[in-house]
Amino acid sequence: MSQEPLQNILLDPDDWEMSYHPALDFVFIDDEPAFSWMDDERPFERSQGMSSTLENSLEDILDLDDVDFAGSRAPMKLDDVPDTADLEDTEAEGDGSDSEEEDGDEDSPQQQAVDGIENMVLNFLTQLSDALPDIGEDDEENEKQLAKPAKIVLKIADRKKISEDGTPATRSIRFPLAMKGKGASIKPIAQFFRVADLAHQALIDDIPTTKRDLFYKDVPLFKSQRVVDGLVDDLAATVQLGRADLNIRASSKGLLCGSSFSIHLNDDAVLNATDSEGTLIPVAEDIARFDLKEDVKWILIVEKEAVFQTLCRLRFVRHPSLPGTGVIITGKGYPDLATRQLVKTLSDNLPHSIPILALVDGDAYGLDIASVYKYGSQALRHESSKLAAERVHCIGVWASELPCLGIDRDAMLPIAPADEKKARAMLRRPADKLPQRWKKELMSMLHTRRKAETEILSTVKHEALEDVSASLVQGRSPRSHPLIQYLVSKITERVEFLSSLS
Amino acid sequence: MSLVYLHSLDCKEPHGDAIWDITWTAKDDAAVSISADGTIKRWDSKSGQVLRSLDAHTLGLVSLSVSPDGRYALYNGIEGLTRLWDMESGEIVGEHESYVRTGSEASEPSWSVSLNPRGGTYASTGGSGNVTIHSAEPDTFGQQQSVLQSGRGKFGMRCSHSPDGSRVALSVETGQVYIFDLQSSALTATYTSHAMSVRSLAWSPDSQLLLSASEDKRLILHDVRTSASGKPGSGVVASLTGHSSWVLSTDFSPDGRLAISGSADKTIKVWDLAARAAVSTIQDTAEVWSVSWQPSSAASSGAAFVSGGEDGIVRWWRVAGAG
Repeated sequence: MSQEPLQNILLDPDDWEMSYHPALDFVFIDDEPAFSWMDDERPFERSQGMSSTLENSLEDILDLDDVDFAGSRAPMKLDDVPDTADLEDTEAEGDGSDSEEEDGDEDSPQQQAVDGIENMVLNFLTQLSDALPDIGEDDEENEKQLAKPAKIVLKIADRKKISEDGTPATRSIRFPLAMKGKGASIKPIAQFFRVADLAHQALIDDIPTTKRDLFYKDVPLFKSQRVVDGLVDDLAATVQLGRADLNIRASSKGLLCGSSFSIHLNDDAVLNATDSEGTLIPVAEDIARFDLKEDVKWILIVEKEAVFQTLCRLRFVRHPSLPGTGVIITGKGYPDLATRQLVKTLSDNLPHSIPILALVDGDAYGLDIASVYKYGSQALRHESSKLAAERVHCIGVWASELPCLGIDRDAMLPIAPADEKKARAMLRRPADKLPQRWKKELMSMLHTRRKAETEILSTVKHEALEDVSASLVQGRSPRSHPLIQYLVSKITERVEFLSSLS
Repeated sequence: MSLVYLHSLDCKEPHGDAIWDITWTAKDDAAVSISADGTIKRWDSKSGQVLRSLDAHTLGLVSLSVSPDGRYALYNGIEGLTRLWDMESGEIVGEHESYVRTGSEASEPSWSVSLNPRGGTYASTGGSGNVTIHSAEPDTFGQQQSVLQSGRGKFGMRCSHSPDGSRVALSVETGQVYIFDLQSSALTATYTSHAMSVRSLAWSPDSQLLLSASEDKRLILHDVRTSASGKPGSGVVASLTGHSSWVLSTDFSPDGRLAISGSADKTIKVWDLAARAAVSTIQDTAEVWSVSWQPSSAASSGAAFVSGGEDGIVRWWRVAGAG
């Protein structure tokens, strides 16, 4: 009985993907507490050189068992995966205490990422080899060990949990799965390591890749883009680095408008934004620096692309009633990394007299988008300090202001169950992540069971605007778009407020 | 015939945010109000002073139900935290977190709550369109006893016990009004006179008529008598129109002859039910979320009422010529 599983364990040495082999029926020996890769007691030294790390550790593991069977070959596809014959040669190489490695960038994020990934793999292999029965040992002992079930546990960072005592929260991927009969249980580990492997590859080859690329490398394994997205973020959180440090680039989605803005890229190209069209915001890694050519007086972030296009078409950045020119940004809904990084950079570098305003829908999702810019997202909470721009100020659309604009309550949309759920969840947020105004609007939204979308501003009749109190409408020309008037008054008000503070 | 009501008193310490419900109670001539600012206050109707108040809840309070003797106030927060307040002792005698999933029974955050006039239980509505009957006894407060199902999963805006304690009325976001018999836990009548949300219900003192106030700007009077044969009442008796926006609140006068309504159009209307017409329109300064008649003897019925609205100020009104 102990012989059979052994034969099945033989992995095709070229098949370094951890695809599930139906005959792989591991019967594990007594389990020991799983190592967290973050533990300090690692059974092997961490060497400084990139490729030599794996060779050494491999050799260490093999030494433990003193047996060479094909299954112990590293699952990572490295050009220099050692043959068994090479092991003796590598024994003399740096065993970790050698800090004079040629790289010199041992502390670079790339190096850190590579080391982190490799350590995780080694941890896994250690658990794997420990769990396998030893050949050549006393059968009786083996029988006893085989009788007890065992498992492999992979600890990775849990981005959703808040850490209690400062140590990052972790979750575990187990093999076999905690609940019986849940299906191909090797899949989570396979997916995770595939992502880790591709990231490792990208780091070593120094060829950046994107999340989309990763997904298309093995569609049958991943099945959906979302899985890849989640694992990439998990991997980044586990090695405690940013996604860009894994050499996985973001693709850009956000748009920018305003001719006073120009972006200097790393390859010396210059992107000049225009007043009437959107320019795609490049990823942060490509940007050398920003340039504000004129005296920019305001920054406006809008949630909806449609609103952005309208403002562009109407050349809003050059509107005469505004205190000066500005820049309009849209993330097209929930913003991607590049857009958030742009906003953060502007927030960090612009003087405080320049307001950064957000125009979002008057519903729970709109406010959530504003909170992503302002406080950071749940998914990337570990990167909040680099991405959250607290300066962002939400200017609407506020449902409570609509009656002043002559918009009938009945013109507002009824809330959907999803809106309600989201609003209730947001109301549970701590006070430092939920401004009083937002809380009031969310409660009002739940109570009236209505929400205000940005489009509703277009339904304001011109006659109604005649009667509106002067404080809300300023410098109106006879036929301007209601959205323009709304924004002009809000922006002017805020600019005046901030300049009165300084 | 028309009546003139005069603004007689403003409260001395307004709420920090909108008042979402108010009741003039039978005890000590006191009024109780709940607000979006999370506080509940008990007022003296002669001076406008606060008699008692409770510390601010973190989130707004959306529903209030006072016991007939005016001693207990059952109130519910927007997140579903329901509390029973003994206004004589000032203690909170019961608390139920309706948003916590207990696992065994399907639960939902409560929205509108109503104390059974006979005591012992209270009813709540939520997103499922059902009425849940909970225990109102201090030691088992909040425990689910039964669920009355309307059959339609629409958001339950308001539930209200009949004054005789035999029935519970439920109104939903899509306009339907359901009446359940508590004894048999059965749905006895369904009224579909509104197509938009019905935000408020008021029973006549003799439990025979039910007024519904809707976002369709109308109030509808229903005959809800149950005949000996068990057949439900004939239904719509009158339709009261005149408001130019959502009707938010309604109440029956103690003698059952007058009705009052508060609206998002910032006015309060008093209606003569026999004539089916408005006899008074009072202009207020903000959306009137809640109105309540003074509970008094039939002689002075309809002489005074209290209102609370978006501006957070409790106002008392008296009919002109009253002493």
